[in-house]
Amino acid sequence: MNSKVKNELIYTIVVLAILLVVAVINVNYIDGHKANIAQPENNSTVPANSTIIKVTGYQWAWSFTYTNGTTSTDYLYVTAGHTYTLQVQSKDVIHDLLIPNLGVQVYAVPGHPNQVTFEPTKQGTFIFECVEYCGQDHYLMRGYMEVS
Amino acid sequence: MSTIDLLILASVVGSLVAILVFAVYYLTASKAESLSLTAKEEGYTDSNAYWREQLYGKPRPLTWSIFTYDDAKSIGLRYIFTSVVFLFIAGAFGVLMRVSLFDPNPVIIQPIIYNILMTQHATLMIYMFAIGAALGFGYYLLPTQLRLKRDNMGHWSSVAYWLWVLGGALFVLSRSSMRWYLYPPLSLQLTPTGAGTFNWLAIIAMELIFIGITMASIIVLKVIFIDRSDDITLSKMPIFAWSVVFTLIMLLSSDEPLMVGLGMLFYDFFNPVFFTGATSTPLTFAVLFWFWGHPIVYIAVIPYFGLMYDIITRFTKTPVYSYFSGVFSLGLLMILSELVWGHHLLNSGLGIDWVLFFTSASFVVVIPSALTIFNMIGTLWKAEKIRLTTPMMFVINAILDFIIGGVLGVMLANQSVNEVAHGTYFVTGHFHFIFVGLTLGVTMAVFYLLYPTFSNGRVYDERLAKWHLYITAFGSLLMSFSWTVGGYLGMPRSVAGYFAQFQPYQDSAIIGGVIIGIGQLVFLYNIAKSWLAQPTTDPYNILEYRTETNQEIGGGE
Amino acid sequence: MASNKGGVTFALIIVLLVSVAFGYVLTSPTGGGLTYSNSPTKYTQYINLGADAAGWEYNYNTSDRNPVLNVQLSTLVYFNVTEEDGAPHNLYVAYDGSYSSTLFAKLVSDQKNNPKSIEGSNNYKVLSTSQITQTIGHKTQGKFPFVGSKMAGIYTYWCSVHYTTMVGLLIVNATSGSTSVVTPNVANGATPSHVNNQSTYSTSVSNVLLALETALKTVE
Repeated sequence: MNSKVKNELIYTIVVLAILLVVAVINVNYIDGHKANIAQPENNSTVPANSTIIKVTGYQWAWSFTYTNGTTSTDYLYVTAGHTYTLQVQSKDVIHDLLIPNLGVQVYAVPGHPNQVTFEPTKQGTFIFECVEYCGQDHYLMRGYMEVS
Repeated sequence: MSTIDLLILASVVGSLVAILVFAVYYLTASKAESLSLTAKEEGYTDSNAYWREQLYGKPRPLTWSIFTYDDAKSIGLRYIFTSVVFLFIAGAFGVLMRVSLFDPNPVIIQPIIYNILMTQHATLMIYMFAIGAALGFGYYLLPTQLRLKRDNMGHWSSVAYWLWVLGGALFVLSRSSMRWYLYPPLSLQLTPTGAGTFNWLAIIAMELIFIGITMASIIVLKVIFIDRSDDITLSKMPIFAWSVVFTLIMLLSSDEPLMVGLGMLFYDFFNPVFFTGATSTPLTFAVLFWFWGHPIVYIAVIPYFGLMYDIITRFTKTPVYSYFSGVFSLGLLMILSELVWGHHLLNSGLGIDWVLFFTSASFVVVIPSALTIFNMIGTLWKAEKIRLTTPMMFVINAILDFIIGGVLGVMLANQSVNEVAHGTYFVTGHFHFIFVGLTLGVTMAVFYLLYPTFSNGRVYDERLAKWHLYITAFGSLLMSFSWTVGGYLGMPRSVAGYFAQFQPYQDSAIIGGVIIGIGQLVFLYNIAKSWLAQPTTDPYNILEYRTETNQEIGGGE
Repeated sequence: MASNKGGVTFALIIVLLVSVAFGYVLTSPTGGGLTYSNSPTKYTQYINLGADAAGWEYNYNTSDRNPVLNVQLSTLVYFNVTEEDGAPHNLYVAYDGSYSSTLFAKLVSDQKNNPKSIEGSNNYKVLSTSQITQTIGHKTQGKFPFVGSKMAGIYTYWCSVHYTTMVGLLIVNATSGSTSVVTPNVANGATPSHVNNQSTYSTSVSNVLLALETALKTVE
């Protein structure tokens, strides 16, 4: 085996090893956080202790309907230490709800309701926004999440 | 404006356009007439065939006659220079977008116009610049690199070129604001606040672009596989030829879903049954789109890898570290990159299995990219002496930028990062590192290398070219780095305004964007100024014409 | 171009095409068309609206959503807008046509069934998103004069960010003293005419406190 093939083998194996480690970490994360990944809406997969919040995206606002029937627009009110499931639908075009501080991201697709589960731990006010371009005032389709 | 004023204006503009069109027609017709007379004297019935034979293998400088001849090199020049024109149009749109974001509220331009600029910037850069320049270099370099036996598809190439240009022009005219994803139902909203009033024209324009590049791809593949000189076997082809082969196979095998999807989308304007009907979901279109939309980003990279290999071998006078592994990893990149398109839809609710497969597959696609970069570094490592000319420095900058952008890409393939960063400027930063550093940088490197041939023996100003490199590299780094940091904190992409907390990242990105713009103006000034001088060298370049020293090193061992 | 002007020609072509493309894109229609007239007006009218994403509220924090507003011709109308929910809002006015009951019924049904048709090209932006700040309780004022012989008729006012919910009609009456003529009974819950509401505009802290209270109630 000449030195060139040896070098090639070395760097291929190093790359493979690094990628394998990252891939295992990733698979592990997905396995442990199944509910936290956006998935089709299904009431039977909502965790038992979770409160459902119905989310509707429309051009160009988010509206949140809570279990007691109240609705808020562009403001999401949640309590720290409690688990919530967002069931997201869209009235018109494709939107994408992102709460960057919590790593919650879910598409709002017309005719394809999705859900995602999260648990806020820190109190405070956090931003959320639409990150799928949806027309003229896409940039205003954003708001604040109040965690009390 | 009253009706009479309007009529006067319309008739004046109409007359001017008619005069211009007639002048162009007269010039081309008389030129074609004289060309065919010459060909007839030589006993040819097809004047194009005669001129293709006459021009074959000679250095082909830039003249207006590239539009009357249709030999491969003329077509190549048309593609290269048209794509540079579109680079400047789309780049100017990009710089204006940047500048308009200096305030968190849209104060300079209306959101509607911002959205049009965003759509045009993305679409023109990808379809008209990246693919156009790749096809152009293929047409221009391959006939001499592969010493073609014949050059007989000129008519078809010309038709393909004009369809592609027509598509690009119509896309600008459509003032579409649907973003280059063209997701329905937004792309079906024919209002200024949705996808633009004339968005149907944009769909037709896209289809024309696709027909053009598909035809051109088939012709270039035919040139490589059938018209190649007999003494250049497949294993002796330069890596650039191989990279073009892989790119075009990828293009041809993945653009049909979107061509069909565009047709269905057009039908949906009249009768929404496919994507917005009662039993369908717009995600169907998203899947069709990304089946093409992911390979396209590799189409904008792989041919430039090939050019980087070629440039490195010329300026280090060293053979490629491992020709086999270079070609093999590009081929592997072609196959694997067609399997990872689903990672653009990780959070759209297509299921956990979808996420599991496509995140894991995205890690695999890193292997061939890493092998390619290691191979280039290995070549540089083994070189006795590296000539740090401007093109070589562009290539080194491209390697650095590709490493940064690639590592950011690996991060994005993690679902935990993707949930935070998808749809934010993190993604924009990731691919602008690669597109500005590698696609734009290598195009400029090759342009400088070919400049003596384009300009019939003139040399570009080395000092200005170096400044072009430094300015572009610094601006790109500043812009993409600000985006990456801001994006990780949740700064969303494609917005005309933003939360005030992101202003520092946006403002530093604006400085970077404007710096890139200034860099390209330096390039334009260099081209114009150097061309004014008298020719001082031979119109040959080291990429096409093999000298004694690089005869052996371009191809295999 | 084998001559030495090739580079200059190429650069000029680029500059020309970039300018043409720039001019073309930057002149895209973005609305407008309804002009602000500086002619003197006979009357002044104040209209108080609360900006809530669920609908424009007549006066502050009422359930009187998306009211039909009545204005007499030759009136300078001041729109006093109070932010109620912290979401971004703006206020547009667009001219739809001269008054007829069929047009009125069509506009009401369009608002309910096909909200996109309100985006007329003949519009005027009374207040922008940055003027109506996203601070709950913030008050701001915009004005528009309905003056000129062609200005009578039906207008639509709306918020472009929430155009499906925050949209209503405004009627400009041509004949003097006929302000009470139009009292349409609107099916979608919009209550009829509010005539010449000349309330003075007071900035009281109590409104802000009221808004906060409502917001807290929603928290649950």
